Amino acid sequence: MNKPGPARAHRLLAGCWLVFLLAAAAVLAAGWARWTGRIDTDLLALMPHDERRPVREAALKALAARGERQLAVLVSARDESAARKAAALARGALAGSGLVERQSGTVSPADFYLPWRHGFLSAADRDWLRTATPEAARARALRLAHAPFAPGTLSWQDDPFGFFGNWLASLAEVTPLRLSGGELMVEHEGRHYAALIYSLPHSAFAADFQQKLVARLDAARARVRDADQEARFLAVGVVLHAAAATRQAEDEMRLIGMGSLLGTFFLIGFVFQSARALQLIAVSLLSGAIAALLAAVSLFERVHAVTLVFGASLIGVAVDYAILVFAQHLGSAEPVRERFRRLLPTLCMVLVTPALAYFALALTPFPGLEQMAVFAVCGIFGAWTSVVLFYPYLLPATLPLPKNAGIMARLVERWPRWRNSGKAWGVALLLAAIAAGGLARLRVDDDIRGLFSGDPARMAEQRAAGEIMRLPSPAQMFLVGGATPEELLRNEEALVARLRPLMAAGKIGGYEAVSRWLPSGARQREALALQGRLRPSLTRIAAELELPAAWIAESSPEAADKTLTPEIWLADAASAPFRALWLGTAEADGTAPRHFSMVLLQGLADGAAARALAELPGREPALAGVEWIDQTREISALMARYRGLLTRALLLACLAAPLLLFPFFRARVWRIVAPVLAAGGMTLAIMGYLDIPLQLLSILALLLTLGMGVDYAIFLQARQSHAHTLLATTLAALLTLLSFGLLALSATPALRALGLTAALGVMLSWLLTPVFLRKA
Amino acid sequence: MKLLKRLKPAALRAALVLACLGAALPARAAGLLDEVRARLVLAPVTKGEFLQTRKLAQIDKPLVSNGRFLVARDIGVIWENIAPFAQTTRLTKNEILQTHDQGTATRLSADKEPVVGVINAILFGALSGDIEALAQRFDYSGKVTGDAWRLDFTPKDASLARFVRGLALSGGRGIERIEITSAAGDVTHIEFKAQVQAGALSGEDRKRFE
Repeated sequence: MNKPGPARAHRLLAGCWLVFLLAAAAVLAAGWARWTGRIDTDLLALMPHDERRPVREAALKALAARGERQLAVLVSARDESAARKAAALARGALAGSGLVERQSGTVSPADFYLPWRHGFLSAADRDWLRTATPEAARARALRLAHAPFAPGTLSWQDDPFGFFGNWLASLAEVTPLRLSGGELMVEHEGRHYAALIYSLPHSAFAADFQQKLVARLDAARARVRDADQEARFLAVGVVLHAAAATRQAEDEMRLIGMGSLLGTFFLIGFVFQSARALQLIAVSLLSGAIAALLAAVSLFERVHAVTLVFGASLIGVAVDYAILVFAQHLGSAEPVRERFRRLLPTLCMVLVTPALAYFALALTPFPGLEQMAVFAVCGIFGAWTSVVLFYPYLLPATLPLPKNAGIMARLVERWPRWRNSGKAWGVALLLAAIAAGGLARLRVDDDIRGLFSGDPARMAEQRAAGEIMRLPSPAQMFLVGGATPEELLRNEEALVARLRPLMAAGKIGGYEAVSRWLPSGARQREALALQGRLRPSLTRIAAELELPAAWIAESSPEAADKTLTPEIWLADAASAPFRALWLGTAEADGTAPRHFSMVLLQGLADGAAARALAELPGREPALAGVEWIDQTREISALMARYRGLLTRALLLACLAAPLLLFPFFRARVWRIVAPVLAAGGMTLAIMGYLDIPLQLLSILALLLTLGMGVDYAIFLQARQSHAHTLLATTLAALLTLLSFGLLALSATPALRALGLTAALGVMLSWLLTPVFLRKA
Repeated sequence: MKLLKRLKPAALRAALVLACLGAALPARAAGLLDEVRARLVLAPVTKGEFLQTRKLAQIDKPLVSNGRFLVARDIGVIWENIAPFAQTTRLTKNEILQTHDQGTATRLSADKEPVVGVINAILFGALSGDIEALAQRFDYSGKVTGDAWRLDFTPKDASLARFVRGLALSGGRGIERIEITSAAGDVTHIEFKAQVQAGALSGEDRKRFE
């Protein structure tokens, strides 16, 4: 040791790092059950939150909470009675497990609404009352008195015009499910389905609960199918998506993690033929894993499964540092520490570029990407730190020169080289033309649905079940506000009046709004006034049917009659299933508190329907206090905005790279930049030809590629004709390629896009870099 | 959806009780329907007159009406009220079409008005003598004396019981009387007279279903 000061500092740092790693490992191991139990599979958790719009956040949260603990199973068969039989089988198979609870409650809505019945009118009856003559009213009552059935449940004299019965019947419009023969039945496209509605005792995101429930559902499905080949079994619920996401994440973590590890150990073992090298790689990777996990667990409340899958693909990146160090030791007689000191600046440079690229992930407002960024940067830093601090002590004095190194040297010599010749320019122009064709085809798609969709078969099942049961859209709604509950309800009613034509036109299937069950005070008073006008008709009918005078008074409401208020409605069990729609009050800064509710929409026909709804509040006459919320579109718009921003950042990086490298490489700078830029362009062109749309994550992948591609070029240019360096970059590129290639197999389209773009970019950079090497 | 969900436990209990009862007495119950079926002669088309007497709970004066009917078993029912008011009700599989007062029509579709489907099924079952269809929704009992028979139906589930408390059919070769007791206790008696059976709809009658 010729410089004892730095050596002591190095030893001290290495000691600290070792203590830190051991402590971190202990912390992780101690909390293992706790944090692995909190691994998040909720894709909504990856989405941005808008803290400036607390009401919107509360509404989306309420909507998510409403769906989280619900599960519905639809069973159909050849005909109605076969469907009932199959449903009974399914119910039997699911009962007694403690995994699902049948939805309960015995309140009769009619009994609750009865005292206020004169305040409720169906839309059709309200219209009828506005124009009805006394004679028409008399005829209507008389006809109903003779009819063996009334739509309502009251006796004729309690509802002589059938208004309350019609209103109750109009409530049923909210769902196509009908209770019949003890079973909730629904008919859809000629098939009869029995619906089993359950609530879940645990969160849909509790991992072991999900898996037990799915196993039980699969057993029920098998039992139904065994008994009846024609039976159809559809299950719908957030929990199923969550369970699938958990299983998928576990499978992919295993695939990517094990694949990358096996690939790494195999290649390292094959090339370096040293058990020591494998141990060293393990030390570096383990350090990276510990650092990444500790950061994720301590910075975030819940670690997301997607982060872990992505994290598994970092193995191929983190292993690069160790490989670079090994390559420099091949067949060298120089003392380990000396070589290390020489290598350190390069190692630092190589740390910075990918870390910066990964850090760009955190610049977006997506919590999911932020988590990935923290995970990546800490993981890479952990692996790098162990290489820098531990390897000088752990490395053997020398690594034997492998036989393969000679092959590498010959390979790089034979590699096609760029010459300033007509032929070279011809090939370049041809490639550029082909690339231009691909670039022209490149399509942009920022639709978030395309990024985080699950298994298509399962999505189709969920969509089918949602359509049959007319479940409301989980990401779209109207947010309605008002200074008072009354104003809120009136605003809702104005909105509903505009939704009705859309329903009639088949643009939407239906809606769920509080005012359906709780009309505004104004609307209830209007109903009372309209019915008050029927007194002369009632008098005539009473005379004809010999009814007592008291009946006339009972049947004709006074305008001063009491109305159903939000307080009474909210306090009663009758409102329980719809209470989630009522969001309560919220204060925007400095203003008086406002009351809010959600209006949910069922059966949105298509994107055009959603656009029509989005324009609804603004179109004349404008709807007061109504805001359209389309989470899917908002997030997609955000993705588009950040794709634009990051594209500019990428272009800036492309311009900045040659400027920053110029002081070191001078006239050779173009040899470093050219292969990387060409690789990026060709990656985009290939994506264009393969019809893979460009989106936020592909831009991020290109940033990563730029970082890594520049690294390879720097290495090769700095020590060109050095076969060891080519060996190192080749190994590094292969392993990175392996990891990203495995990531490209992910079923999560977002990860697939990231993996595929990065794999293409890395491969092309690695192939093109030797082309631009200066002739030795 | 929630509205109906809340009705379920009661319905479940009712269904459970009925299932147990049904399990205990399967042979006898099935035998009863067979015996009635053996006496009942159902032609594809039945026409005739009806006399309806409706007794509302707490109202002394009975409401009497009369008219004509036409039952086409595979197509639907036309119920033509003549007095004290003119009204034609046409029941087909998926809708109820009511025409009254100089052609004012109300069309209720089973897709949109869920109650329509239920009422339709019951009326259709009762008027066309499709006792098997009724037996799907109702628990039943009855007796057979010589050629005459009577069947009493009570709803199997709570949602149906909210509309109808009971249904009784009686007759011999044809259905002669229907008695409907609503949930509120109103009792409707329908008597069929001058019944004529035919093998197919006449061209004119066919048009009425179009």
